[in-house]
Amino acid sequence: MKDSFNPSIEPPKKTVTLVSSDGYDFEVEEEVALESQVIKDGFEDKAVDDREYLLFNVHSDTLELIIKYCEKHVSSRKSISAAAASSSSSNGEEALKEWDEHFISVDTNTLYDILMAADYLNIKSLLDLAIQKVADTIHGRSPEQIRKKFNIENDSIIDPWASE
Amino acid sequence: MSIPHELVIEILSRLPVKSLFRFKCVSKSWSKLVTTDQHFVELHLNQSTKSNNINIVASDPKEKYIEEVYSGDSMNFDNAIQLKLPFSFPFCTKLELVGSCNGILCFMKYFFSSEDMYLWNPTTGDLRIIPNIPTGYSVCVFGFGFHKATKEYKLVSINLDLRFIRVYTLGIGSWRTLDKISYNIIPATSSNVLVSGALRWISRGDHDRYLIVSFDLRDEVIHEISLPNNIYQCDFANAFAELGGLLCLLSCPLNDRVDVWVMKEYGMVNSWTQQFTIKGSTGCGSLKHMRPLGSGKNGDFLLCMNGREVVLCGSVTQTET
Repeated sequence: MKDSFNPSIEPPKKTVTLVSSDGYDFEVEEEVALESQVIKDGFEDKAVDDREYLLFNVHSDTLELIIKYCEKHVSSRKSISAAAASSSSSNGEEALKEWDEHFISVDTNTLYDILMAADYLNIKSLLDLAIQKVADTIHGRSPEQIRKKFNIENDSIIDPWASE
Repeated sequence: MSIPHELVIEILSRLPVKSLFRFKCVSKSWSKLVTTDQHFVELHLNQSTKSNNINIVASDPKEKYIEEVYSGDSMNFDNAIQLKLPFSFPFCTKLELVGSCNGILCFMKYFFSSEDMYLWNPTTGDLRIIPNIPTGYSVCVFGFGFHKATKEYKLVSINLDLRFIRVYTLGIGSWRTLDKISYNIIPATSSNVLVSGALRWISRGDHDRYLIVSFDLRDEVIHEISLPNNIYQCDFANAFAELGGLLCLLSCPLNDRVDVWVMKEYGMVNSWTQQFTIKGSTGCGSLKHMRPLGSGKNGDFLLCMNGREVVLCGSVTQTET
């Protein structure tokens, strides 16, 4: 049973400002910013007119990507639930999955920046995506490559891979 | 670039076991994490059960000789790979698959009067032998399973002649004898299926009334579960399976037909639903004596037919309910 939920009735768009670590302002819609659990948690405590968030750990390059991801997910969710309400068939979820896969196919440094930012901002789905991507990229590597990648000092007494 | 420890753990929990074991020598803390950290093992298990790999054992169901072991993704049986058994066994040895859970296979090895159990993890290569299963020349059925709440692996042996249950908890290391039971368990319904932390067998009561005897691995008590009301009942026509985490009963009323019953709510007898019917195609032989080997996410079943033939059956007919 579908209740009388109507996605077309929405309150007027509110925006918040996110400030990156290197001092750039990003104005985004409130619901996009709320994809971050950290911002959501802080939201209730904040005064109504104070709509600025300083993100000390996120560089503007990364923040731009993060916002792009959140915007896509907010809009996709809407179109998926709209399709479900009108019981028309949609491949929205599959398309989003494909989009995610394309989104996360970035170079190593960007991937790590996204990973850290998703962790810092607590965006569960993005964190999941980034973690899986890192796992996919390292599983065939040698222990020595892993040490380099994760900045780990070799404290093992016996290293059977040392001769390689 | 330094990644916080919690994130490293999350990343490692998504790796295949083979990679993990190669990474044991990265550092002492990684080695400890992979080999001894119980929390990590659980995390990894949760991740890997999402991908749902199953092991398939091809054997001769009449002789119960295991010939080959295959591992494959339940979504794609075509890519199954053959596993090499880690033990050789002399002539006259019989090997039987007891069950499998969490990627561990449990075999029973019969060699004249000695009976040993082998626990084998094909991914890590770990092999444990539990010797001298006390059967006392009686007919026994065995089970192997894991309970999420107690996090214990248990082996169960039911002596059908003397009618008592013995339990072996892995890590504790001795067989305990429980109270006598009054059920007349049919050996052919040997339980390979772990659903809701219980193993189960079919028992024949008075007036040929059949019922399911379910052994809870945590409380170590037996619960009775009724079969669906109008299911075809006889000694050799039923087998258990799992479908999407639900208990499933395959029943074979005719040679060329298998009815798939699903218990939608575990323990609720009126939730038994006849979900599918599998029709045998001409030339595939009798579906009686089939053994379900595994099920795919989309309701496909892999059945082992008479002898060596393994067939993949789709959910051909969805019964209107």
